[in-house]
Formats: sequence, C-alpha cells, structure tokens
Amino acid sequence: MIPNQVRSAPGLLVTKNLERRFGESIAVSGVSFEVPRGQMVAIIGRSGAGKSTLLNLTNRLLDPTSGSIFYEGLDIARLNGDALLAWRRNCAMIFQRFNLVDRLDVLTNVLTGRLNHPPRWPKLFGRFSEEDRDRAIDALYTLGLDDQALKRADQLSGGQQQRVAIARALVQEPKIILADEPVASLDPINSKSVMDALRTINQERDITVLCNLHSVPLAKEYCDRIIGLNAGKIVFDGACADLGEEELFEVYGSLTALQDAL
Amino acid sequence: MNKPKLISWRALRPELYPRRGLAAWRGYVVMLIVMILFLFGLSELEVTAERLYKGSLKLVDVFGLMVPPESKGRTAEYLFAIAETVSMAFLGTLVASILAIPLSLMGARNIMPIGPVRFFVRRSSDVVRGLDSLVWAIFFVGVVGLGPFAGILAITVNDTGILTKLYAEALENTDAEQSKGVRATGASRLQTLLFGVLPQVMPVFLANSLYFVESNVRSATILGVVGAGGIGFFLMDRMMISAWREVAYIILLVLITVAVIDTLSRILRQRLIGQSSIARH
Amino acid sequence: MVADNAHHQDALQLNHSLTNAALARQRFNEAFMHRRSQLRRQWVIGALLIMILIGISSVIGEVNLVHLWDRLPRFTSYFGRMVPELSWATLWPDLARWYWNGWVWLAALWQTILIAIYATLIGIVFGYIASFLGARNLSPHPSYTFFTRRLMELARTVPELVFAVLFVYSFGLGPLAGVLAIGLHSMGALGKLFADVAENVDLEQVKGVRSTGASWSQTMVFGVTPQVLPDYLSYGLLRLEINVRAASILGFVGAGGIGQELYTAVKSFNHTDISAIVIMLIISVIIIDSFCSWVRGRVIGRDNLKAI
Repeated sequence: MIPNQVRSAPGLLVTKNLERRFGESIAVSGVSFEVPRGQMVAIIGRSGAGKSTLLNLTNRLLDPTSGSIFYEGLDIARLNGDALLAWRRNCAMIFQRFNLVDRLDVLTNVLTGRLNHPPRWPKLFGRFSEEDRDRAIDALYTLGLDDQALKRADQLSGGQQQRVAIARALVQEPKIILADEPVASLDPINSKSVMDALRTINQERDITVLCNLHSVPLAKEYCDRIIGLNAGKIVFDGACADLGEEELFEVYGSLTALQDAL
Repeated sequence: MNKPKLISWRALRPELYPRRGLAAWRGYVVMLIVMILFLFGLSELEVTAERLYKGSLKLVDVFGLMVPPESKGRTAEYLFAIAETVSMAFLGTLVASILAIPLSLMGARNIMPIGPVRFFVRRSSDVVRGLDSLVWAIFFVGVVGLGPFAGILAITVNDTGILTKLYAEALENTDAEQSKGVRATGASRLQTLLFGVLPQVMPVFLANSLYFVESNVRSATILGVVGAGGIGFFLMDRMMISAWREVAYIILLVLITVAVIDTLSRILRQRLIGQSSIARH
Repeated sequence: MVADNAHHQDALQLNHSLTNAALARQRFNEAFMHRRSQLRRQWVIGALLIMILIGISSVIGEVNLVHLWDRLPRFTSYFGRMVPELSWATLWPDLARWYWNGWVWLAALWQTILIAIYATLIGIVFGYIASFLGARNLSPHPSYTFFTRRLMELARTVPELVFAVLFVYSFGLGPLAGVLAIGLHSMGALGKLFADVAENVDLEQVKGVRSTGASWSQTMVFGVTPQVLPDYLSYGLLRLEINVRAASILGFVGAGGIGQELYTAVKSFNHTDISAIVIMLIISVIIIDSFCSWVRGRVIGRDNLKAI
C-alpha cells in the first residue's frame, strides 16, 4: 500500500475498509472514515457493535485482520518495535474502568504516561526527570487533583480516578485521545466534569478526541461529529444535527436499545 | 495550537519531588554502606572474579561431557531406586500429615487455650524442622540401619515439624465468624471444631500435603547419599567418579518421574479441592 | 349439583397436585440416593487406592515397625551419648568444654548464614526476571514461556547437593560453590512460584500502562510488579528460611558452612560435638525464622508502593 495514495494532511487520521475478525465473528468491517485534526468525534452504538474494537485497532492494542489505517500518511498497521510504542504514546487511551495501577500512588500513575519519552532506562528504576514531574503535577493541577498526588490510586473515587487517567493521557503529549466509554461507570456529576475536561483539552490543545459513548444526549452535547456503528459497520457519519430518529434507529436497531441510550 | 508553558512545581509542592541536598546525600550514604557490606560478604565467601571466570569455563566443559546421557545398562537399578525414593516421599508425607493434624490443633491459638502446651508443641516443631532432613537421615541410619526405612523416618519427622507449623497457622487464620456461627446453633466445642473450623482448613491441609509430596520427592533424592535409600546413592557415586554421562542419565530419569508426579498431584488437587466443597450428606 | 361438581373438581385438583408433589419427591430421592452411592463409591475406590499405595510403598521402603520398636533403646542411648556432662557446680567449665571449638563453629555458622542470604538474593533477582518470561499471560512469546518453565523445573528438581558437587568440581572447594548451588536451585523454585503469582494479575491495570507506549520491561515494572511485590517478597523470605537449612549441610561435600564441622563430628563419633553444633544450628534457625515471619507480617500488611 503506497502511502502517497492516501491523503496526508497534518493531523489527519484515515481508515480504509478496516476489518477485525475474532475467529468466525466479525467485530468491525468495511470501516472507512477520515478525522481531521482537532475534531471531537463521538462513536455510538449498542454494546457489541464494535466501538471498543475500533478504538483498540486505532492504537494497535489490537491488530486489524484486513484494511488499513493511516495517520499523516503513516501506515499504522505496519508499525513495529519502537515506532509502534511511539504511536501508542501519541494515541493516548482512557478506559471505562480507568485502568490505573491500584497500588501505585496517583503521581506515579500519571508519570507512567512519560515512560515512552526519553530517557527510557532510568525510568525502569523509578527515576523520572524533573521535567517529567513538572508536567505530571501540572496535569494533575489542571484537573484539580494535585492535592491527591500521594494517595494510592484505588483510594480515590471513580470520577477522580478517571481524571487521573486523563492526566496520564495528557502527559503523553498525544496527538489523539481515545476515550472508551469514559463515563459509563460514573454518576452524572462526575460524568459532566470528565466530559468537560475532555472537551476543554480538545479545544485548548487542539488534540483530536475519539469518544465511545453509550449516551446519545452526551454525544450531541459535547462532540462535533457522530459516527454510529451497528454490528461492526458504520451506519451514520455526520454532524450532530443530522442525527434524527430514523438515523438513530439505524444505529441502535431496536427500541429497547435506543431507550437505554437516550 | 496552545502549548502550555512548563513551570516548576518544586517550590510549591516539594514533597512530590525526590529530596535534594542533605537528605539526598543521606540516601547515597546508605546505598554506599549497603554496597560495602555486600562486597564484604562476597569476600567472606571467597568470591573472586577470577574464580567465577575460571569456574564457568570448567562448568561448560562438564556440561559438554554430559551429552549424550548414558545408562550403561543400569536403568532397572535406577528405576527401582527411584521407586524407593518415591515410596519414601509418599509414606513420609502421609504419616507426617496425619500426625500433624492433632499436633497442629494443640498448637493453634484459637483451639488450644493452654499456653504452655501450645508453646511446647510449637517449639518442638521448630526444633524438628530446624534440622535438614539429611541430618535426620544420618540419625535414623544410626538407629535402624541403612536402607529406605531410615529415609522414611527422617522425612516423617522433618515433615511433621513443618506441617504442624503450617497447619497451625492455617487454623489460626480461619474465619472466626464461620465457627462462631456454628457455635451459635448450640454446638459443643468438639462439634464446633468439626463443622465450623475443619471444613475451612481441610482444603488448605490437602493442598499443602500434596505440594509436599511433590517437594519431598525432589528432596528425598539426596537422602541416599548417607545410605538412607533412594537414587541419591547412585547419583553421588557416579558424580564422585566423574561419570558425567551417567549422572545426566540419572537426572533425566528423575526429571521425568517428577514431571509425572507433578501432573498426577495437580489432577488430584483439582479433583479433591473441588469435591470438598460439595455438601456432605 | 353444581356445588357437588365444584367440590369434585377441587378434590381432583388437590389429588392431582398431591401426586405431583409425591412424584417430585420420589424423583429427588432417587437422584439423591444415586448421587450418594456415587460419592460413596468414589470414596471407597480412593481409600482402596491409597491402601494399595501404602502397601507397595511399605514393601519397597522396607518398613519394619517391629525393627523400629526393637531399636528404640538405641534411640535413647544415642541421645544419651550426645548430652554432655553438665552439673550446676561446674557449669561454666562444663559449657566451655562442651563448646571447646565454639569460635570455629560460630564462624562456620556465620558463613552458612551468609551463603543462605546471598543464594536467596540470587534466587529472588533471577526468579523475578524469569517470572515474567514464564508467565503465560505476560510473556512476549509462548516459546519463551516454555523454555523458561522447563529451565526452572530443571533448576529446582536437581538437588542442591548435586549442584554443589558439580560446582565444587568446577569452582573449587569453599562457599562459592555453595552459594551458586543453592542460588541456582532457589532461582528455579522461586521462579516457578513467582510466575504462578504473575499469571493471576489484573490485566486491565497492565493494559493501562501498556497503552501509554511503555515497552515490555517498563510494563512489567510499572503494571505488574506493584501487584505482585508483596507475594514475591513473602515467598522470598520463606525461601531464606529453607535455604539456611540447605546451607547447613553443604559442607558435607565441601561447599562451605557448618556442614563440614558436622560431618567431621559424625564421622569421628564425637557425640557431644554433634549436640553442640545441632543446638547452635537450631537456635539460629529459630532466630532467622522469627525474623522472617516478622518481616513477612510487615510486608503483607504494608500494601503501599511509590516511585523513588
């Protein structure tokens, strides 16, 4: 696949016919879209529609079975070794269950976001540079958590843990943030603060955000664009305003699923 | 694009940074002292780089001499000796497990209220497991003569000490709430013991004993050195005359035996521990 | 008439449900009995098997309880010969005579403990590294897992004494051979235990670290180690206890420590020497065991880890 055939503007993420199978079952197929830099995209769909798979394919925690994915003309599916690790650094991920290291303190958790930045060897022994620490504390401060820095991660509430995860993503200095159901485990107030944080980061730092959301109102409120997945295929891709009842039904397939999402 | 300017937080939040100045030096001094102690120990142990280097070369030579393993027609003898070893381990662990049950009950804080009895039991088990089973083997060879019986006795005695302590710890770690529940139904002390405590510890007892059968087969291989039966005698004998290929052969046989026993033990553990959770009729 | 009919209907229905209940109870009883006899059969077979095994082992193991009973007096005379002559009047000189070689033995004991400590350190460090390669869910490739696990099995199955002889042959007499022998064996034993612990970690936490672009070793250090450290340290301390005992007999083959002195005492039938050395050994073992238990208590209790 010659990269020149793909449009490569700065910050442009392109997928073409992305497919991922698990044995017999198809998780995603025929997925093609382009995301320009700085856009905040919501990905909606039923559980099992392939939203998580799509995100995991983007940062290569999963490999595609066919199809391709490009960033600024770089073939992501072909990356290996250090280049692959560098890509993961550039493509920060936020998980539904926060995925912090429970026994480590908040500050160290955020510092793990700097692991792929040089120098790499001293970090194995827990020695982070002054600059790394400055960034980490700064990120925590931005998210209002600098006073929790020395607490064990599992001693924080869900909303706080997710913001620590966002801080970790921030210090990676990523080009893209992938958020996999970031607020599914949180109450409405915490959901709001986390989504606000993501939106602020998206707008102030010009970082592209791809956000799996289970709630359509949330998607419409925070995102510029919505992609709807059904059984691994894109059935909607457009502005929030264009997402009407018909389109929603396409995405969710059944009334019960739709009701859960609204 | 907005790139945030990087400011230093050290002044505002010093506790989040590694210590500088005097405090850091203290850390370095501690590390230095540990290093010196470490090197001092090495010299006490007569470890020199030269010895390590020369020895490694010689070791590689020896490994070369071990290939290919050779049996010199002694396979039957070896297999019988291995059977001796396995028998020693099996019987020794079995008897020790049985003996350890009453002893551990007498040594557990939540079951035996009489302090001196507990103390005596725990200290005796300390003494008995403080000596390697090889030492006990020497002793028992002196009492009952050469042969695997001495080995069985040695393993029994040594393991009784070990298992008594392990079992007693397991008993002390039982959930008091469960046995209190049984007691609350009006059960006597004995009944509380049987139905409240023992069901909790039985899986632990069984798992430990099975693990020790495996472990003992390994450690029993050496008892033959002092005449207490098993493959140890042949192993040492062949090593002393530097018959490396035969040594390799014997080790191979032992490895296979151990692998078989490990597999059997794992299957047994799964079946037994699974079963004990089925309600008793 | 109608009332009669209704009554009749009710009676029929009642009969019907009674028979249903009776049927269900009967079916349950049958199943229960069947299961019960099945279990009973399994227990009987199991017990029989064990009996057979005991029988075979007793024959091969030359178990002779009568013989043991006959030799019991030897038991006591053996002990008797080991007890030195002590009287309150001449306590100090008696003790001095008993421990005539006390300083040499103390030095040898010190060496034994050193051997155990260094060997355990080797076992912990290399076992730590090997555990990640040998854990099926963490290893970079399944072949790594296979080879690491096989190597660890080899290291822990070969008796330490056998390694000791091998190393005495290669590295010469003295404690170096002992440290390497026990260290190698510990690496196998601890490596396996560590790997089993590592296979049970919460992979979500590991995924979190991995998603930042961390390398494999960084992921192991930051994502896995915090989860397993208390267990690793606990096993490591247990291993120290075991290694002290192992180190005490290394001297039999010339690999250093108090074993040499013990061997001499046994061979030359110096029974009071044997008891003197054994008592020193037991006391040191008790001290070390208590120390290890104390540290293990602190380590499992203190569930907190920070970056340096």
